[in-house]
Parts: sequence; structure tokens; C-alpha cells
Amino acid sequence: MRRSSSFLILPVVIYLTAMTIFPMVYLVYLSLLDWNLLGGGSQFVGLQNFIDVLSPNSPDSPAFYNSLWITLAFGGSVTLIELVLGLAIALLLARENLIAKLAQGMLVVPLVITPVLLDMIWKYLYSPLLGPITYLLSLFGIIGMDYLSTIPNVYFSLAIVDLWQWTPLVILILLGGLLSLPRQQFEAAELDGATRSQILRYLTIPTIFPFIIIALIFRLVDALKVFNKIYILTAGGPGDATDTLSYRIFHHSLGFTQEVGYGATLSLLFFLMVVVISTVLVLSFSRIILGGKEKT
Amino acid sequence: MKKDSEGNRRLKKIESNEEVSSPSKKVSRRQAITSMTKVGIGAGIAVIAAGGAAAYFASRPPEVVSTTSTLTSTLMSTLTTSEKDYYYDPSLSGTTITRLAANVPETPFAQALAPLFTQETGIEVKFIVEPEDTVVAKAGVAFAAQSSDYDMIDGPGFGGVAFPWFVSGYLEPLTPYIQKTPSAWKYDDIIAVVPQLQSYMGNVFAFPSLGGIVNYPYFYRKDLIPQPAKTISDMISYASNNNKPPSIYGWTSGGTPDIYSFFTFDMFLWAEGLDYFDANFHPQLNTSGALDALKNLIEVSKYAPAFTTTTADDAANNFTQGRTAQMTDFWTWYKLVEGKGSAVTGKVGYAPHPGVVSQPHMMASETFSINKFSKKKDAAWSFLSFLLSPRVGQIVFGQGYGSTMRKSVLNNPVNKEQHPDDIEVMNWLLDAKPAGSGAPVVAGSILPHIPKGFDFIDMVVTAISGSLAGKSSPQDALNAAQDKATALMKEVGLYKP
Repeated sequence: MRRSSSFLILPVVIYLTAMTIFPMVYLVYLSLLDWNLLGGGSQFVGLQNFIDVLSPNSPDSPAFYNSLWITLAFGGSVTLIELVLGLAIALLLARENLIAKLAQGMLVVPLVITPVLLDMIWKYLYSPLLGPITYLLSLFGIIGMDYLSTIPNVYFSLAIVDLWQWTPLVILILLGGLLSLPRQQFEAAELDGATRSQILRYLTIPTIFPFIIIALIFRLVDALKVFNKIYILTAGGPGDATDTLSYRIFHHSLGFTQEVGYGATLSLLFFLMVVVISTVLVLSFSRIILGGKEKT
Repeated sequence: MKKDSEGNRRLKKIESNEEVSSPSKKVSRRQAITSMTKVGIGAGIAVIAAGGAAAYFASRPPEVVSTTSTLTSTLMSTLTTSEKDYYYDPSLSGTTITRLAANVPETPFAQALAPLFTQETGIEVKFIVEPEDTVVAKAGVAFAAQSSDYDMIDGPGFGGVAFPWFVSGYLEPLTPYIQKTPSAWKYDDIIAVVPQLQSYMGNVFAFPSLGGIVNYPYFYRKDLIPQPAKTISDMISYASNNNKPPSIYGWTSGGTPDIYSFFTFDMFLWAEGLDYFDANFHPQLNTSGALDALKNLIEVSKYAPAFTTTTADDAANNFTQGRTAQMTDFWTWYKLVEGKGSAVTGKVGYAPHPGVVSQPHMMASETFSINKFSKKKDAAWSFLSFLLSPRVGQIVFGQGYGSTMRKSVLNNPVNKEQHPDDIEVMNWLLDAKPAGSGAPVVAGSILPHIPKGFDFIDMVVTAISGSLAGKSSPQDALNAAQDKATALMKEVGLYKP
């Protein structure tokens, strides 16, 4: 029985090995090579790629640390804003009326639009020549705004796109949590004379805290991997102001430079960073997520 | 008391809610029918709305799109002779060859000509068309595997990838094939600098796609600017005077942090009488001339809409819609800016780029080559030599392609009469000389001849975009680029002490 059950999971094991373990091992292997696909073959260089990326004395490291900082800052900022905004909107929508239900249905719209198409739409929205944003601002006398070519405008512009696209996901997760809350506790609190802010602070938020953590983990990991927006809206510019790690990996591995070994090194470091961050979050809040002792 | 009465009200509310939410309460037949009716009405409205939208879009007249088959019949109808002025071997009939092509304007022309080639030779041509970076990625994988899946491969990045591919042994030398091609192919008819740019150690390794080479002139609105700018200062002045956002901006060009801003910066550098390297391949990025060039670019970019996120295509669209007074862009866009649907038809002037009047202008093109691992090299050369033949060169130019590599096409009186603009701009390139000749060089010479050319472009582009964004001063940015470029030239062995 035990042997047959092991045999039955073999296809899954093979699939997982082929789809995850083998690519990871190959990625590690590539990171140990100096390999430019444009020519010259590959050469084993050991950890030299990692030294080139991480060493403060290396000419390539400032660009890597710049990308790392931009990635963490952007990912952390938009995630935090989306959580706050998402919670506020979810609280407003957790009602039993027609408007709330219609609004809940419309939340799905940004999520079902193809991300690349959505970014293209925003690129034209931000266009100083064609975009309606420019026109609307001109009605208020605001002329000559450059949304994507100047610092810090580019950060706000990218954040707005990300908020528009992914806040609904956070809302839906938190809304699900809010609607699943048992009414008795809230009714009891109301009977005891608790104000709305007290109910929110001492009852609602602690009760849906697992959902907040789930939304945090989902969004943070996804926000750190931001690529489409950078590729379509800014190409890493102006300067290297939006040169995130994902874009940097793409540029070096699949752009015209074709430096596969260097790109693999960046990919591996990026993967390790995301794994560490998500693991820390999961371990820190695992008891809460799994319904353990609540934190208040 | 107030609290109690409030509590009582809430208690009653809870009781009434409990009654409603009691699990023992059944839904009545009337409620079920009402609910189903509501759902049905909603679904019906949705279906009607969707059907109406579909009917609206289906009834709109289709856009007129030039199809490959339309272009084929047009091109084939212009054929006047079946003389074989390209490499032809009857024994190759029945062969099928594959071209990995970039999604660029030249490719539809080549696809339209393929049936004519098949008709004449019996060789089938299959195209795999991909975006440029995908072509590079796919070709890289094919070369690494020594695959013969592709017989011909485009060299994106205006041929910049072809040189490292050739040096690495991935491309077939074309000189032996040229030597066995009939004299009617007229190698001497080709503008000299074209094969020179695509040669290494005496071997030609690539040709421009369809024989086209592209210029990067200066376009201006004749209704706003009476005379074209002669100097960069003029251009900046005109940009400032005509900059009235959001209705119109003073200038536009490709400014994205990639090859487009590099090409734009070329013009400003050449206007200072400089190029990227001297004759010993010492970078010139930290010279006072380079600094002035970058400062001028920064100054004029203030009058460009979203310069650092504008591609060359975007710039052409901006100008075509009448939203900019000046443009620095590829000559191939002239057909667009003066074409049907343009808002500035009849108002477009062009000239050599300000400050570059007496110097060679930029020459760049996509290239194509033969895969070293192909098993059908002769058939591949037959198709390539067909596309580059004098006859096809004339046909394509006559159809308005806008550029050529053949002197006979430039000197053809019919072309001078029918396409005087293209002829004039092409003639600017006749005196162009490649790197190392002592004359100011053209950008196209950098890409094929410098190993890790795109690394060099990255260094320059980083300096440009960093300065434009205000992250570093122009001098600091250029100094950093100079150090990196010098190290690169030493690494690739071109730096002469």
C-alpha cells in the first residue's frame, strides 16, 4: 500500500523536478559562468559574477545596489499604500446595499485586463501630447507636466498605475475577510456601547489580521517583481531612476548585451531576496495566519 | 436611560434580523420566481448590450491595411525582365530555406518579393518574424546549439549584433559567395562604405536588409520655421520660440535609454566636430566638445515632450500629428510625415542635421547574414543576392522604400524625377567613410567593428540619461563613461597606446 502510494505521486514529483528544481540548478550553474550569447563561448569563473555584483569596489556594484534600493522602495511603498487604501475601501464596501454590490463587481475589472495592455493604456494616459490627463490638468492651468521623464514624478506615476491595478485585489481579499466575520461579537460590542473607531481598532482589524497578512505577502512579493510597468512606461529611466532588479535582469540577459551569466547571477540573488522576505513574513505571522493566538 | 433605549432598539433589531436569518426559514415560491426573474432580466440586458457592441464593431468598415499579397502583386507587376542578376543554381529548385527576420519595415518587402523569387528559382522561403530582441535571443540559442533551423538570420540593432556573431564564428563569410555571383549583380555598383562597414579581416559578413541604409536628418515645419537650422544653437532657439505646450512643442527625437538616445546624441557630438573615438580608438567622451554636445542635448530636450520615454517611432508620430516644430529622426519616416493622414502634409522641410553639414551623416541599417551552421547556404545566398540585386533594388526603391545601397539606383533619372527627396538625402551618404579613415566617422561604423559594441552604447546612454534626469552633472556622467569606455577598449584589444 505504501509502495503503491509512493508510485502514484511519482508523476507529480517528476513534474516538479522538471519545472522547478532543474531550472534552479541550471540557474545556479549559469551564474558560475561568464557567458555572452553574442559570441565567445562560455567560461567557468566560479563566484566572480557574484563578486562583480556585490563587491563595493566593483564598477558594476553601484548599479546593482541602485536597482536593489529602487526595487525594495517601490515594492514596499506601493504595498503599504495598497493595504491602507484597500482596508479603507473594503470597510466601505462591506455593506448590504446595491451600490456596494455593484462596486464589488467593478473591482474585478483592473484584475482581468491584461497587464501589458493596462500599462499601454496608462502610457497613453500619461502622454503629454495625447493623454487626457494632460488635457484635464490644462483646464486648471497646469501645463507642461512630465509624468514619466522627470524625478520624482516618475515614481508617483508608476505608483498610481500599480495602485489602480492591484488595490482591488487587496480589497477583495480583505472584503472576504470582513464578510466572513461573525456578527455576534460586533453586536455585543455595540450593545456594550463601543464606538465605531473602537470596534475598528480592537475588534475588526485584529480579527481580519490574518487576511491583512495574506494580502501583504501576496502584494509585496508581486510588487518586488515589477517588470511590465518599467518595460512599457519608462524603460528603466529617466537615467536609472526606475531600473528595478527585474528590468536589470532582462536588460542584461535578453537585451542586446546577452550576458547570460551575469543575468543569471542577478536572477539568483533576486530569487534569494524574495524567498528570504516571504519566509520572514510567513514565519513571523504563521500563528496568526493559521488561527493561533491573536495579536491586538 | 438613553443607552438603555438605544440598547433596546438594537436588541429589537437583532431579534428581527435573527428572525430573517433563521435557518429554518424557507424561500417562498414567489421569492424564488422574483429572484429568477431579476437574474434573467439582468442576463438579458447583458446579452443585448454585448450583442449591440458586437454588431456595432462588426458593421464598421475594415481598415485598409497593406497586405503582403497586395505588395507582392504590385512588386511582381513592375517586373520587366527575368534576367538573373543574382546567384542562381537550377539544382537548388525544390529547396526550402528559413529566414529568422526582425519585425522591421524591410521585412514585409522581403516577404512580398519571396513569391517572385520562388517563381524564378523554385526555392521556397519561409519567414519567422519576431521582435528584434527575440531574434537576438533565438539566434543566440541556435548558435549555441549549432542549429541549422535558420538559414538566414537578421542582425538587429542596426547590424550591431552581426559583428560579434561573425567574430565568434556564427556567420558565414559572404565574400566567396560574392565572387561566384554573376557579374550582372554588379558589386562595384554598391556604395563603397556599405560593404566596408560589414566587413572584417577582408570578409564581408552581412549586408543591409534589402540593401537599405538609413539617414538621420533634421525635419522642420516650414510654416513655423522659414529656414532650416544651420547650427545647434539655431535649433535650440527655434525650439524655444515654438514651444507652446500642450498644443505644440519645440523639438522631438528618440530619447529612451537605449540605442535611440545614442543615435540622437550622435548628431550633437558630430556637430562639435567630434566622434566617439579617435583614430587609435581612444574614447573622446570627456572632452570639452563632448561636454558641450551633452549640454546642448539637455537644453533642447527641455522643449521635447517626455523625451526620455519617447522612441523614434513616438517622435515620428508626434511630428506627424503636428505637435512638434522640429524633429531629429530616421529618414524612413519622411513617407509618414508627408503621407496620407499626416497633419503636416506639405509643411515638412528637411535638411542635414544642424552642424553636420559638411560631415558624413549617420548610416545605419538592419542587416542579414547566412547562418554558419545552415545546410543550405547556397540557396540562402541565392535569396540574399536576389534581394540585393540591381533589379530588385530598383523595384523596391521605385515602390517608395526610400533608401538603397546602389549607385545606379541613385543615378537613375526616373528615380531622380519620381523620388527627388530620397535621392537627395541618399546622396549625403556617398562621401561617408568608416572608422579609422581619419575622416569623421559615422555611427554605423561603430556597431559592426567594436566587440561588445552594445556595452559601449550602454555606457554612453547611461551618461546621457543620468544627466537628463539630473542624477549627475554632465561632466561627472561623461567622466564615468570615459573611464568605462577606456577599460572596454583595452579589454577588447582595440586601444592603441
